[in-house]
Amino acid sequence: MQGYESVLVLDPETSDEAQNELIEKYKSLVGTNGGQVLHHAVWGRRKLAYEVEKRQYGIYHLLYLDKTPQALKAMETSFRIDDAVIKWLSVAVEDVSKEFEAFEKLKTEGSIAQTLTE
Amino acid sequence: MARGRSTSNRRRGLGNRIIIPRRKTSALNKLTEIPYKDVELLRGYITERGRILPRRITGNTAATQRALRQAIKRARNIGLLSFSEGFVNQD
Repeated sequence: MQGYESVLVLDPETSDEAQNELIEKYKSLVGTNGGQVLHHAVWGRRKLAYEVEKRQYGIYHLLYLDKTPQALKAMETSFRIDDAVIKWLSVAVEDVSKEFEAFEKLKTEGSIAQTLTE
Repeated sequence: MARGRSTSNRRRGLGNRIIIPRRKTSALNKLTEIPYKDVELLRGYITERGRILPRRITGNTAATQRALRQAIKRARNIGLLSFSEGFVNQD
């Protein structure tokens, strides 16, 4: 199923409750715009490769949406307004579930770099 | 005459050149798509300074290199990879 994958980077000082609240907010926002959040994954706190507005760390979340452009647009408008979201990236994907599984695999098993041989 | 001399000069120059290990094929060529979230994988294809390695060194096909470039740029955008490294602000 075609859809979108959005990576959000949240402020490292966002509490767990605030994070859940935000995600729930985006889920309902997508819902009211005719879309659906198919999966949600938490990548957790990571060190940023470069400073973003004096922040060294970021909390990574991933949202997988079905292919509803209006819903994505509404969600991105909200990202711009929310101060807790410091970075985000949305990508169109061919198969949402496959991408989600690939991410879960990356998260649990680590990089695929070693499995690749010449 | 002049041309002949310049060639010989260049040949002599080659002896001093730093040899960069070159791979004839790349393991990435087997992938159908390159995951931009796999930082460890992407790190193998950038220099210490954070620049993307050219195709002549990595051995990627043109299509793979395009996909890799896309993946690295996406990773940079969300703070997984840096745009440049080793820069010290001197002021």
